[in-house]
Amino acid sequence: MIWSAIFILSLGAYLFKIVGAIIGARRGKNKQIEAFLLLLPPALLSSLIALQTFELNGTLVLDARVFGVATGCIIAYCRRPFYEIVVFSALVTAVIRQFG
Amino acid sequence: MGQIIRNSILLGLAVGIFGLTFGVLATASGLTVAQSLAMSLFTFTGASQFAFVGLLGAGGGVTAALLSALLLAARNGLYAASIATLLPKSRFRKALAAQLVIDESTAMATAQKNPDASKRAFWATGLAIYLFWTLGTLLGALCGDLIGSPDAWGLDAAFPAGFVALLIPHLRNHAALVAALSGAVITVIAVPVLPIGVPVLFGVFGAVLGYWHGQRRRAGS
Repeated sequence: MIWSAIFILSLGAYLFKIVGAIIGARRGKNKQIEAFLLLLPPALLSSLIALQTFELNGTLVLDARVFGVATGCIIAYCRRPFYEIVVFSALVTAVIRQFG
Repeated sequence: MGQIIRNSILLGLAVGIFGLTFGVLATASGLTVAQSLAMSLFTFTGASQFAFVGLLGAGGGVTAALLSALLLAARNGLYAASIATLLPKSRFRKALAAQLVIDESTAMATAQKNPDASKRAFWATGLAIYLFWTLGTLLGALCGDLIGSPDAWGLDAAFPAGFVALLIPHLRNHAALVAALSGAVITVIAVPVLPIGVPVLFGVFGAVLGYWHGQRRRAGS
């Protein structure tokens, strides 16, 4: 039962990826499709950011993550290197969790 | 070049720690070590895997776990369509590259300034994460809880913060700004109402609104 579920999930997950890659490569020179496809990563990434910051088990919560992500945003705004954003957002979240 | 590799390895290591947690959770929810490892090797999309073992562990039943996990995996198809021109043309390599299309590899690839750098970033991030995610899963499944919860280290906030950094280069025009803002707002509104897995897909409506906004601006000017 578990093995079949893992098989179906793996197959399904891969089909999404490969079908997307094949269809996306056939878009030709259609500028409107191109314009729409270019908007998918920013739209989906910001959805993901919102979820990973405010969602917990299907509900909205405000917790230490918000401060960590806010710290990351400030560091990103200051054009600091990527690792500083990752490290300091984790650090701030961990410290607030420890003492909060 | 060096910077792309460094950032990829950093992301890979962070993902690897979540891999450890996945291995622990997967075995705790009743999967064998082989099943946990097979998921990381073949399913290879973290959010789906966590949802699957989480719902299984909570007694949600295999079908419910599978459906949620599949929904969460759907966005990779949208990513793949979006970055399709960066993927190899040969069928064999395209088939391999497709497996590496996930949040992190797409974000790193699309944050670069030119297509060559984007391709390098895609492969470097995809392969680093594949390696560390799989190794982490194996270690976690075999050895159990080595480092405690990644949450205690604040790592759950490191990912959205890292994605913010990778999102910023996208926000060069009004359409992308509208897409990003409305995608986030629509998703947040959807969280309390819709089942796990659905809200993140609602980000697509952000892209639709951004596209519509872009067309209107073009028509107006």
